[in-house]
Amino acid sequence: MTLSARLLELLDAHKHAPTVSAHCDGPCGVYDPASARIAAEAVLSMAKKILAIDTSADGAYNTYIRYVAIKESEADEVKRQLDILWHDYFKPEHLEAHPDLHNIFWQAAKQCSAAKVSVSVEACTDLLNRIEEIHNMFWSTKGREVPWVLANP
Amino acid sequence: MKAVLHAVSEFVLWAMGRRSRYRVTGHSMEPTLYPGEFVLATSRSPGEVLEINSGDLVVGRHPADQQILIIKRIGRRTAEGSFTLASDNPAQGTDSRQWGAVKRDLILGRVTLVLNRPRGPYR
Repeated sequence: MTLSARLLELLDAHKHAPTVSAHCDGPCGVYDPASARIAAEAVLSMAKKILAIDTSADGAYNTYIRYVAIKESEADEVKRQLDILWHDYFKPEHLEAHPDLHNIFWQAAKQCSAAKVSVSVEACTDLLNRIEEIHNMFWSTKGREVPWVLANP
Repeated sequence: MKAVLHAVSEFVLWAMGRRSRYRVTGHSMEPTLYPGEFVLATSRSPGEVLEINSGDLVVGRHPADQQILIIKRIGRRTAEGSFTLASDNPAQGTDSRQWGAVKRDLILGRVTLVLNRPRGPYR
């Protein structure tokens, strides 16, 4: 069946077939910036822990690598969660009330990278502040006042 | 040989407009279907009643948003004549567990040919 699969791929480059979704993010309609906030709090927590490592202690090198790995993956998770809100939840009509929406998401995604390349409490706090801004924007589209609460204040 | 004949006849039916071609996205039908693979499915004319059996792979409309086309496996037929839809990879899918049974009208076609890409460690 390989040849016919290849043929269809070639054909698809010429004329796209409609896509059929076998997705996990079907339109369940459950969105909450809390998912991004929790991951961003983990990034901040790992940055603090990395800075507090006693480098002379036994196993410090291993601890250091583990913490960095967690910081990396949680920052990626923030990006993924922001993407879900950005392209799945927000709709063109939200741009009227929030004309800066695209820029806010773009800067927040860039801040995820800034939190990855540095070990900086400041960069991670900046990321959390940007997510707070998205939190406020998100709940205002639903006409609800939801307080910004941190798991690790 | 039988598989080749089946594929050829399906391609002929597709060329005649009796089959529709779809490209899969998402992971809920793995290992049967991986993202980017193609299927051919029967095209139902308006009013035509599709023969659907338990275990069939089908293309349908998402009950919560009919703009979205989905691909799932038929579970069972309910007393009301609707069908439950299931994912081959339930950990990565939403289906009748979340939506309940789906009306027959929302099922557009039965998959008649699955075109998998070669499977290997570096797929």
